[in-house]
Amino acid sequence: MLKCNLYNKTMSRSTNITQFPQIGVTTGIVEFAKPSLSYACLRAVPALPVTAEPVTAQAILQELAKLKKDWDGYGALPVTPDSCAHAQRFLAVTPQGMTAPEITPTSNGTITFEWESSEGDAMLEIGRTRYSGHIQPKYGQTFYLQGGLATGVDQQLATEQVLAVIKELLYAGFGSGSLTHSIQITKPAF
Amino acid sequence: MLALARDLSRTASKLLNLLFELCWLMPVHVSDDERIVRAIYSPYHLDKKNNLKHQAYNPTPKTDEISVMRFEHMGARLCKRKAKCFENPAQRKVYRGFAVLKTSVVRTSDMGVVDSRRHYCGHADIKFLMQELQTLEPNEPLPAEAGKKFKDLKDSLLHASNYITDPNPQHSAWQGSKLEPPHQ
Repeated sequence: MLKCNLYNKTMSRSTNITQFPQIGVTTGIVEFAKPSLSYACLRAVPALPVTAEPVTAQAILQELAKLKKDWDGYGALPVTPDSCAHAQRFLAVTPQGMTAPEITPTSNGTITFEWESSEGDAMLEIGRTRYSGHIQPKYGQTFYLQGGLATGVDQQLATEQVLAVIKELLYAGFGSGSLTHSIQITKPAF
Repeated sequence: MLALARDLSRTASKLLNLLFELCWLMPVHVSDDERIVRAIYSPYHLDKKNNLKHQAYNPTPKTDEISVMRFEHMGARLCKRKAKCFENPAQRKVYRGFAVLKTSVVRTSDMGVVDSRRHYCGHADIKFLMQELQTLEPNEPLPAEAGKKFKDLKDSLLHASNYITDPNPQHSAWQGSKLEPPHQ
């Protein structure tokens, strides 16, 4: 079992990941660290392709890429090719046991992914160079997620680690049930 | 007596707006008891089960405002006419109905409702009162905590909305059920 390093504005400590939902973090931002030894553990977990649903999700993304300026009639921005590519990466590494997210464009030209399970809900907003979002377990505090997507390393970290955390908190009843990744909570980068 | 005078004034205002698009009798202040309606379009405002999504309350870029209509001063027919104007089938934006809210409920959820007749007579805006939305970079998300606050505000609007599907979107008149906000 791996350890999870958690830091927030008021405390710094290490804790076992199985205690994650009970940690007294109220304002912590989950921001994924640069590659480390623990990241190598994450990389060792195969990103299994999910079945029929993401195929539909990919089709939705292709539709979003075609949206033109003012697609909502209220001056909405088109979704950029970069945002679409990032979103496709997230879909491509969706771990087995997670349902496909509800995918929607926003008027600011970003893409939102939303998941809902009996354990809670999560939302991820994917932009041109960064992402942000939160996980709201049914019981417990909110976890905030944010990070960059500008470089290849950022993208790989974000896609795999964010989805692993969401899976652990919302779909713990599925699959192996054991968390095999490491996260780091730091101050927000922006 | 006051209520009767107010109702008469609103009826006259509605007729003036419907027939001539004039705002002469429409007060600039949006009263707490006014109904405001948001035009709903598929596919982005509705989920697979035809339920309203929080994306129905996404603001115009670079603003913290979402467009609504002052129902008491427009009436169902004019609201529908305006809603149909903003349809865009080429971009798959199809009119489906209205979400109805009560102004007082929006205000008690820490948001504002202001008249914005510069767009057209009867137009108003719900204001999220979030500075971050006005300074948001194009094509980038809000910071995580601001994003959660924004989502919570949109969820409270969802909770305060009564979505009523238009049974006959092609017809010029509103033929659906009475446009009323949910009972709080």
